[in-house]
Amino acid sequence: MTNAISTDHLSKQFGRNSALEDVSFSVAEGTIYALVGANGAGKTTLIKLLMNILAPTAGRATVLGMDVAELQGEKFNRIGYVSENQEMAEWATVGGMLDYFRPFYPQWDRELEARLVRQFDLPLKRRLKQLSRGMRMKAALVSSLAYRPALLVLDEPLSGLDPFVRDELIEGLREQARETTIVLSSHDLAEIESFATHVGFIEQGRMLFSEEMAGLMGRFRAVTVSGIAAGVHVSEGYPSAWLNAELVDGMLRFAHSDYQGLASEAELRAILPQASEVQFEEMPLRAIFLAIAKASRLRKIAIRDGVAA
Amino acid sequence: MKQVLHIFAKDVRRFWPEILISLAITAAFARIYPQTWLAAEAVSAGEAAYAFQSQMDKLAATLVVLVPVSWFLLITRVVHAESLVGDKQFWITRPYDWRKLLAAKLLFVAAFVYLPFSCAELALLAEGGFRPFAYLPELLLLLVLISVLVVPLFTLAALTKNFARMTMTLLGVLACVAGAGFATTLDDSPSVTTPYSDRYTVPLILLVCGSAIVVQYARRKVWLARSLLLALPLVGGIVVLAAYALPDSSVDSAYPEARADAHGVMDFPALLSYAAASKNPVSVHSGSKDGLIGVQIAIRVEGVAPAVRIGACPGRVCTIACFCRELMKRGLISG
Repeated sequence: MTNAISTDHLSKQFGRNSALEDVSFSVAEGTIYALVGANGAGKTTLIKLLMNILAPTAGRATVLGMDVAELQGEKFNRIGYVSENQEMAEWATVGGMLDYFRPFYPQWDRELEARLVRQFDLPLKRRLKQLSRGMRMKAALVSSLAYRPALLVLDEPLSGLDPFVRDELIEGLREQARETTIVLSSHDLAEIESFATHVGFIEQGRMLFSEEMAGLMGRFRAVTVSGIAAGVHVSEGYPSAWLNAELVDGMLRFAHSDYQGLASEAELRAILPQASEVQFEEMPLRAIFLAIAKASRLRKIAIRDGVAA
Repeated sequence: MKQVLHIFAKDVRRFWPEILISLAITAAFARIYPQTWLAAEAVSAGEAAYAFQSQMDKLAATLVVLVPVSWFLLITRVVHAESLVGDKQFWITRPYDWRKLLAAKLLFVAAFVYLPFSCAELALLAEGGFRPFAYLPELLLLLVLISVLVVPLFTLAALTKNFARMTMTLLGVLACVAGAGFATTLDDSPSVTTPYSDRYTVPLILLVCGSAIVVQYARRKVWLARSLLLALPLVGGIVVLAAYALPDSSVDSAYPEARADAHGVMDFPALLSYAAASKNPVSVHSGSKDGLIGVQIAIRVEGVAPAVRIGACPGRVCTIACFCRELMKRGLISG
């Protein structure tokens, strides 16, 4: 499978502030890739670098086999980009905007356009500036889907939308996913979980991991161990895959980031022989990211304290 | 070409009110301005005619200001329709070719600034009793000269994000130009027109502004285009300083002295004479800080040979001295 997107040690600095550090990842063709992270983590900066809206300070990236530095003009024929912050052709009606964009794309599919307009219930004669945020996002999406792009990049397309509009958009994306690679950023993990096939997690400008959703969900487990005697301290010598271990009322709880089934249980019992009962539970995406983010923060504090000491 | 016309048509549809306003102002200018030529007749035609004439003069003066203001409005609006500043514009991730976008904007300016202005000038020539199409080279030169206003306006629009910023920037530039102009009036010492300045000022402005526009459309690097534009006054200043520091030979070649033929007679391409009958034939200005004395001599110029341009060279003492000697030799002046 070839890559729709590939980055190699991509970095971006604004003055002395580092917005993105040494990011290397790839997105395979035909996948729905979710780029997640807290607000300000660097998702939008990464997307702007991929769309050649910003120039990287270091590193390089390719999109659909093209160096992003050369991404302009007709090379956008095969790429769709929709962002919550993007200015739109406010002066135009929805129909006027579609009429205007149509001649730019030789492969524009009028039937698909008409179907999407019906599906999203868009008022063609209304001006874009008179539309609600949800309607504007839907109009932007139609104008970016109607030419059947090979790659669709969406920056926070779902934030701030009511659940009904959100579901409509997700349904539209899901239908398009058969022929388009979709990359979308979001900090709302619940909705990503339902349809993304791959996920990348950015924190403070660094890509902490990038992998298939099924693999991620498969290797994380919420672990509860009972029968730990009072007075036992949470050890710093636990395996590094045990994240955020805490002992409450004789129960040890942590997130296992490398769950291997029976092998993991055997390892645990070897480390904690006094454990009476061990439970491994699947974690929702939201819980996984919270665990990763917390562990990352604790690690940083530990390093900082270590340096200070 | 298809994309150029597509963008152009969109701009025409979007900005038709601004276009109509600009065309109306230009048409009114072409219609009203010839009325100012009748001032002398109005004085002798009675009080009512004089009052009407005064109103026409004021209206014409207002239109002379409104025409460039309407250009400012048109150019700013059309360039900002696909703004080049920022990273959130809808068009930057669409298949726009920057050359075609720039061509569409230039076509718009040509269609709604240059073309109406050319028509107005042709109408004025016709109104003045001239055959309009006999003066096409002069008209083209005039279009080049209005580019000194139009091209910098286009450049500033390409370097600003919205109308408010454009207006503030333009006011700032006008304030700087006015300040520099005022500063030159404070120095009453005689000055020399910098050699070749009249020949190179317009091309320099057009070249620098044109480069800034191309850089901005091709790369959207605002800092680079702004640096280029800021270099304009810097380069201008260096050129002026260099001209003052040049050896006399460059000044001489810019303002050559008249040479006598084998019989000792100067072959002047025009008949120059001391205008003794003028109101103030000779005036002497003194009191400048550096002790220089300025002398103004009224000269009557007539019988200019074809293809000859007479230019003034104030402050070139040796040139004036040579010229005065020649006038004395011919008995045109004494002492």
